[in-house]
Amino acid sequence: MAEAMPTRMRLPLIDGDKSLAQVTRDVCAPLDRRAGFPWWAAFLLSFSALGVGLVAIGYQMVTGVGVWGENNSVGWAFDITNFVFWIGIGHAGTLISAILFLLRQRWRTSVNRAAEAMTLFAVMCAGIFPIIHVGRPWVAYWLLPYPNFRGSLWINFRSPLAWDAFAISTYFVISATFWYVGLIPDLATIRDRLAPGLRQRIVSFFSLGWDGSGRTWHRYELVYLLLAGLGTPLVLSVHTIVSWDFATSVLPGWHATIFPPYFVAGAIFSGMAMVLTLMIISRAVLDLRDYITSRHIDVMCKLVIATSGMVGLAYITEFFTAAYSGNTYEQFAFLNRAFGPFAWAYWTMVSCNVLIPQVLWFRAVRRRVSAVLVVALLVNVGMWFERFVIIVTSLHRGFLPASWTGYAPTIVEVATLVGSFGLFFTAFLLFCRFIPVIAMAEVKGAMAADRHERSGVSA
Amino acid sequence: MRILPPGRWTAATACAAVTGIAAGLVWSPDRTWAAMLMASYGLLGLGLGGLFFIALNDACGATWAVALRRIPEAMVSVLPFGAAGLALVFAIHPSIYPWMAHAEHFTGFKGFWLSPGFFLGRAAVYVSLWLLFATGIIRASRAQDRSDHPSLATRRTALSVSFVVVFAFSFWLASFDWIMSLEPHWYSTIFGIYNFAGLFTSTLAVVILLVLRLGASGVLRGVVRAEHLHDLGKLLFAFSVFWMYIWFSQYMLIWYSNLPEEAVYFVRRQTGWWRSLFYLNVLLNWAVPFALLLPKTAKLDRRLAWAAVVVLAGRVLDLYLMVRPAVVSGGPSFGVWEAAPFLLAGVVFVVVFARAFRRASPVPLGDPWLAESRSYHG
Amino acid sequence: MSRSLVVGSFENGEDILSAARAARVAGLTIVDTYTPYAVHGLDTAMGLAPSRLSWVCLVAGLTGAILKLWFEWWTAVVDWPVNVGGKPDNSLPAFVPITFEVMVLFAGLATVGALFAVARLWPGRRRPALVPRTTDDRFALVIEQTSAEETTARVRALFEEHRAVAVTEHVDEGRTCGRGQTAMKALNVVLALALLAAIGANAALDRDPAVPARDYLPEMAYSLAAESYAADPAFGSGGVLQVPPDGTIARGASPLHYLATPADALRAGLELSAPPIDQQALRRGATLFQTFCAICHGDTGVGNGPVVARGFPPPVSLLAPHARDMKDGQIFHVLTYGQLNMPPYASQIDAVDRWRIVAYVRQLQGSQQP
Repeated sequence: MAEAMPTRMRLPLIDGDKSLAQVTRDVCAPLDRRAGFPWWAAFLLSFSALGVGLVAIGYQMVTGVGVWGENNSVGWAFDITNFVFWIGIGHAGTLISAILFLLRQRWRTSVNRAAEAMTLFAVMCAGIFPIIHVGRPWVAYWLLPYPNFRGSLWINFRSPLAWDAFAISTYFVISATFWYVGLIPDLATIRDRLAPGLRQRIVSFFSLGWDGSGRTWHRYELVYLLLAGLGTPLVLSVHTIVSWDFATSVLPGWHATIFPPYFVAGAIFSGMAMVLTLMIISRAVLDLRDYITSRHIDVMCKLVIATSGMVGLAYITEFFTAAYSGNTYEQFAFLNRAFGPFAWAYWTMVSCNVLIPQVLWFRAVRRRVSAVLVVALLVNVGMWFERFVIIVTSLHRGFLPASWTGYAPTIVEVATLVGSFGLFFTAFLLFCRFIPVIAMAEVKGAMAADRHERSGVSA
Repeated sequence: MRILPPGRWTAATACAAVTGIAAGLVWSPDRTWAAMLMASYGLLGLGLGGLFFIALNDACGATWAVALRRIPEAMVSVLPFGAAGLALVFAIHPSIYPWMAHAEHFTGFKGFWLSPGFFLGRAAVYVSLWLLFATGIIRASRAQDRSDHPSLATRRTALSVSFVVVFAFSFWLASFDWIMSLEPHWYSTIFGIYNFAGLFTSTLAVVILLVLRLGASGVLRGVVRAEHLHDLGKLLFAFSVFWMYIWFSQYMLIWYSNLPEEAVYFVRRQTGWWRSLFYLNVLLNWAVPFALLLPKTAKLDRRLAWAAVVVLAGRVLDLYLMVRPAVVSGGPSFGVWEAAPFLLAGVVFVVVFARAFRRASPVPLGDPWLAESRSYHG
Repeated sequence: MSRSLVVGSFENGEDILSAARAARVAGLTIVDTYTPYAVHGLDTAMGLAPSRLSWVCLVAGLTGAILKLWFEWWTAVVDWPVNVGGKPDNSLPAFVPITFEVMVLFAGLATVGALFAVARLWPGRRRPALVPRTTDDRFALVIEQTSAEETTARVRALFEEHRAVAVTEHVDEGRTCGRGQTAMKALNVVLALALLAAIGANAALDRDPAVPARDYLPEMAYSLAAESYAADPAFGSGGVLQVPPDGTIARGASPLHYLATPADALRAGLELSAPPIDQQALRRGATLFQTFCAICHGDTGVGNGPVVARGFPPPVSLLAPHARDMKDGQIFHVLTYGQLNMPPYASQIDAVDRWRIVAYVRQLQGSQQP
């Protein structure tokens, strides 16, 4: 009995029992046909949003960051909220590409390409905000240590902001490398399908002459494993360092030792929600329902609920520890969060991040793609507010009651946020047009292993 | 099957340990009670860690470790013994907690939270919850040996998922209650996760040692494959790194912010000889296992066993560093008073594990995933 | 050098795997395989030795970490030690994060670079496939004929035994280079040279640090508002900062025209009268009295404050007849301008609050007998 059961218990990875050639055809089909109306509509919308953002950025560069709503007390607000939000979004991509690879989760092959692309675009969006915030973006390279005419004044390596600069740039470079290395075999596949022409030459240039040689595959697999092994601690370190931007201070609500794992869990949570959003939309638009099946969505929903639980536990831990500490300032900071002027933001965060995702415990909800999409969007809203709550509520009621203030974003800040969404979606839409959304070589390999496993287990 | 050393040796060791503890309670009660707390907490951690290992695998639908599951299942049996040790400390020597010694010390929420009655009530709730889940999960697993009813697998999954949630809350609070409140003015939000990291790393180390022992000479010969050890080794490696990550996060943030009320915790542990133990802790729990297990082949030879042993030694030191400076003033010392409780915990673990392991079939015969786990090829 | 190759194409991974194993058993020389994905186990079937790229990863990672740790220490301790927030110069815990990042950066880039180098992958490289569709759904196994006995027929039979769909023969003429590829290589060389030239020029050009660099987008570097202490010929005084005209008072202030003399104190007693005071103002007055006055005058005003206990000359009791007889305005004058040992409090307590203190002093006097 036990010998036969697994074949019935394990459902196939991909629906429709595809042949290898069919995989290639299905995945490349959206690249071959002309873009339809939905794509153009989405592209124009996001491109206009990007335009709005560019105008706003141009305006604030020429005028100065005084056009923001920040003040002496609330010196970080919208910008750093957006920065942490976007960095967090990126983390799910690396989770899927590196951590799930190490855990040998084969289902990741259907979503890893898109999720990694999402990571890259999200990190680009994140970079906008601190670069503007440094005041003179054109000398943002001063963040890097290089011999200079300022007496060779080095950057302060003890500063978490310098750690940030290193973490984000390393993260971007390594994610891009990881993504590109994974892309090479697929670029070769496209190169061999295309008729000679400009597009074929461009693809050929980037495919590095890949020919699927067994010797190369042998090395390639090791390198992929090593990159996953490096990427896993890297992704943890990035959000950890982002959390240290806050936690190394002495401000109640910021200085908490739980911040590193709490931020990492939150990042993966928000990123997973964004992956779900993008995948649910693109599987419908690009006709890839056989590859990104309802089982993929189910698994991602479970990850969302697991990370939601971690985030919720962190909220409770912080609140409890503030009460337990007996420290008046800690207690005030958390009561002010929940019942102060920004209580609406706090409760939005709690409902979207902890309460609403609980519906995903029910299989019926996980099966209903539209419901999952709604939950995923709400989680994104909630995670944006989480960063807003952490940053603004702690700053606007500091130790000195004389400097207590409020904060409201200006139109320029909102426009910059809109622009970052524009950049993200414009880049993602272009990606869908020109690069295979699904890692063909990996799916083929996973299908073979899957079939082998399901065809009967030899003891 | 040989898990145990000959009976007379076990009995002799147990007698020696009990004598040592009794003598310690007469001559150096503070040191002995501190060691009793560490040893009981560590023993309880192994049982709880075993249960969490099973529950995590079930909750994730992971099948690779099914063939080995009876090992963590048998480990769970030590949970009540660890709890009994803690109960002994709470009942006979409550003044190990400074706030118990003079209860009027705190007001407000803290006074309410750290009141003896509520403290004991909470401890009873945690332990009963864990025992409840332990009984449920293990009973369902053993029932599968006799019946192939699919509802058993569903029940196990449901229990496991619920246990993971319950464990997260209860163990976090338990670590605050039992360990962090030894220094009641100090607090660190990550403390629960830090304790979890130590608990799970040491559990993995013990599972590895048992798998090696039972796979090489015992009843699991032929069941344990190189792939299982490879994966356990990778998990040990990963959780050792995780421990270091959490350790560094806690230390660095407190070092950086340098708030007197927080920094005192590390100042106390970095004064005099404590300093060298402080660094040794990082070596044992992270650096040595990391270096040992980094090569791929290391997870398949005796370096794996060495790494597990080093991690266990690190766990003892970690507990020592958490508890001892809070309870006994002065420099570190490790003698008979400290060794005896740990020795007793070791004997209890081996005896209880061996008895529990014998009670059921050595592999979960009725688990539908057994075949897949046995042929697991990574 | 030319060699003759026999190429078998297969339709799935299992076939090429078994064919490769059989070819090795038969003692044939496997040149390479071409597959659309990494067939699990094919590397062992081909007899490939474990790759040494993990050593590249380890060495590069360690190099990066050690270099970075040294660099952070050197800049912060040796080259330019700056006290930042009271942290020690050598702040090892704070150096860990960047050290880790640089380690990952070095290890990752070096490993991928080494892969490209040993696998000879570079932009624009083109290599014609021996069998079409090996990047799509075909699997090719290439065997070299090393001796005459290894007849093509034997290889062919082996391939067909393992369900090969096609068997072809090729002659490898060694390295060939197409026209497009030569152009590509030339382009790569030109680009690399240009990069080197740019770096070299940057290093070689003599730059005078005294010459200011060109400003672009200067609005944020230079404030539009005039600097307070800058010179400005538009004003008679020659500077931006102006002396206020005589008689200027601060916004909201009401000036007092008295001198700090006993005579003016008496005059103030006649001219000034206390504004109406309610309970809340009186409480405020009490707080202020505790804050500013009680230190000398004591909580009840008898002149036994904490500083008196330490040897400061005691003030006259506020309950003394002389003090009771003072007019409200006179007390206000004393608070504002000081008297004997008492310093003026005008700069610390505003006028409204001073009147509240006066009211509280009155209350003290009324509540106690001399």
